[in-house]
Amino acid sequence: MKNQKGISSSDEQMDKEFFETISAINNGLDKLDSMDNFVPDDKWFKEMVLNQQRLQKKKYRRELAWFILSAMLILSGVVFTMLELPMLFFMLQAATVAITVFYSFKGVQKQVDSQ
Amino acid sequence: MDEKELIDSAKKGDHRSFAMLFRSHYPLLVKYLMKITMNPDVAEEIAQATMAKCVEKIHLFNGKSKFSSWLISIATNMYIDQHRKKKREREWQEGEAASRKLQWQMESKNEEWTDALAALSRLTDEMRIPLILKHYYGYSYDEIGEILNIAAGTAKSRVHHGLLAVRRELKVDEKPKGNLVKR
Repeated sequence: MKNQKGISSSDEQMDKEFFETISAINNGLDKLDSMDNFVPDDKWFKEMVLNQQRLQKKKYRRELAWFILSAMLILSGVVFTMLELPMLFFMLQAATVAITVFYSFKGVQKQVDSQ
Repeated sequence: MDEKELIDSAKKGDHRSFAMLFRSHYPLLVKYLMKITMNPDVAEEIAQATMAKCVEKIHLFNGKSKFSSWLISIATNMYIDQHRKKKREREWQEGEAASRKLQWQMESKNEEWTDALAALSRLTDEMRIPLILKHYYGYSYDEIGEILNIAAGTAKSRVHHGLLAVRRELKVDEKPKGNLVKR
C-alpha cells in the first residue's frame, strides 16, 4: 500500500526537500512493521463478531422499546389534550408553530449577518 | 471467496465472513495503529474496538474506497476520540511509558529504535497521523483530509510542520547529507 498515489509537482518539490527526513521516518516505521504481531485464531474472531452482533441486537431492542414507550406517551398526551382540553391543545399547537417560525427566522438572519 | 463477496456476505450478517475479513486485515490494522499511537497495548485495544464498530456500521460501507482504508479511517477516528477524552497530563506520562515499552520490545528483538522513531513518538497526534498516512501509506492530502475530517490544505500543512519538527529533532541541517538514510 506504500506510496501508490499520484502527487502534484509542488508536493514532489516538498518531498525532494525532505527526502532524507522521509527516508529516515520510513526506515524506522519499516522496522516497526517487521515486528511480529500476535494474530488471534479464527475462533476468536468468530466469537468476537457473534458477541458484537448479540450486543447490537440487544441495543436495538432497547432503543426500539424506548421509542415505542415515548411515542405512546406523547400520543396519549396529544389525544388527551385534544379530547379533554381542546383549548390547551390548540394553544400548544400555536406555541409550537410560533417557536418554529421564530427559530427559522433567527437562523436565516444569522446566515445573512455572516455573509 | 474474494473480498467483495465477503463484504456482501458480512452485510447480510454472516459472522464467518466478518471473521475472515477481520483476520486478514488485523495485522495491517494493528501495525498501522502501532505507528500512530506508538503504544502496542492501545493499538490492540483500538483494533478490537474498530472491528466492533465495523460490525455495527458495515451497512454504511459503500465500496468506494478499499476496505482497509475504511478500517483505517474508523480506527483513526476512534483513536482521536479516545485521546480527547483523556486528560493531557496523564496521557503524556502514559505516552512516554508506552513508547519506552515499544522501544524495549523492538530492542529485545534486535531491532534498532531509530532517532526518527524517537522523534516521531514525540510528535503530537495531529502531526504524526497525517505524516504517516502521507509518507508511509501513500495517501493523498484529499484522502487524509477525508479520513481525519479536516481540509486537504490543513492536512498538507500538518505534514509539512511534522516533517520540520522531525528534522529539527534529527538535526538534519547540521549533519552532512546521506547520514540518515540507512537503506
